[in-house]
Amino acid sequence: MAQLVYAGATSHVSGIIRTPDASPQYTDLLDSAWKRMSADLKAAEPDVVIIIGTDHQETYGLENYPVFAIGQADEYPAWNEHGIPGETSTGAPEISGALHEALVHGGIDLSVSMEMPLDHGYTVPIQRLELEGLPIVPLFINCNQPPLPTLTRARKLGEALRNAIHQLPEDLNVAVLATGGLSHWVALPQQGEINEEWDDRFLTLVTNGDLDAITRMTDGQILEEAGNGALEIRTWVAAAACAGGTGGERLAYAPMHSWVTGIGIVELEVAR
Amino acid sequence: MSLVQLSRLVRDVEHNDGVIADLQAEPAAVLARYRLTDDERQAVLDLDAQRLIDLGLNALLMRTLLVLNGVGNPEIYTHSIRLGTPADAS
Repeated sequence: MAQLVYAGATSHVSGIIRTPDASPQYTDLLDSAWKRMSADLKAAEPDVVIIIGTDHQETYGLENYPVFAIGQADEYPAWNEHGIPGETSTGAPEISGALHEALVHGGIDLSVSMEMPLDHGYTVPIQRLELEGLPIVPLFINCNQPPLPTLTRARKLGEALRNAIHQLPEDLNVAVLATGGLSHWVALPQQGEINEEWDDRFLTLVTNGDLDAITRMTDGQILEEAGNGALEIRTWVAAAACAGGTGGERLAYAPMHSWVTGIGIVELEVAR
Repeated sequence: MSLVQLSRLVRDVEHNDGVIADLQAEPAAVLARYRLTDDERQAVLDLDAQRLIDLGLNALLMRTLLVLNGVGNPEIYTHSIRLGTPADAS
């Protein structure tokens, strides 16, 4: 039986790669956290990393916009949108297929993408955590094209993913990484604002394993307090539920005004 | 639906070689390839951030359209750049 050996979550803004020293007072803090995350993830010796992220209207369009989708390709090219660096990632299509089937049978009717170029939501954490050599399975959650799946639904996705991982037909080690958030306003007049109090409250709820409190948040509240970019916390909720929802450790937080977002980095406890 | 066409226009501008140059050189000709409403067409020509959002265009795509046409992120809601307007007249 496969086992979940690592779970974590990190913000994914392109500045992480493009201008890593944009706010020097936070460089060491963030660098140390990402180095630890990378080392811990690799020490768990995963055979595959499931990256729970979103797409910023690069891969999916209104012709057919999924709520949830899983990549099932042998490789995932990078969009390199707006010149953001990124390389083609190696897939694990057999694992993707098994997860897809188990998720559908587990009550999560998600789409499959057998071609799925990836944008910065995936390519930035892959580069920052130096995951280039590891096979990945990208798992998409609609975080920006309303109506969005509810936070409760994202939690159920995570719970179903946990079961699906355990049903994988081989003795595989699996890591799960969520990417997105925290507070930021994308392409809205408030762009550049960060709500440090909201970010701290959210990170505390995550590390306390209080998914009940998080899933009571409404999108209206999140939009008002933390911006449209914070709607990406769906990925964190799914990863936390997948890990077992028992909490975790805040590795770092920084209000990165130069990157126009709050940056959070958390390792999640993996409940046995 | 015209919103699909509007969204496709932006994604074509971003992903397909030459479309951005064509849009800037002959905006009316490029926009004619898409079934847009008069309001949508004008909002694109005006690179009008708020109007594009009010018409339903996703904020991410709105930003992409404007940035690819030379609007800086901080000026998305305040710029005066328009398609089809010579740079020295904008």
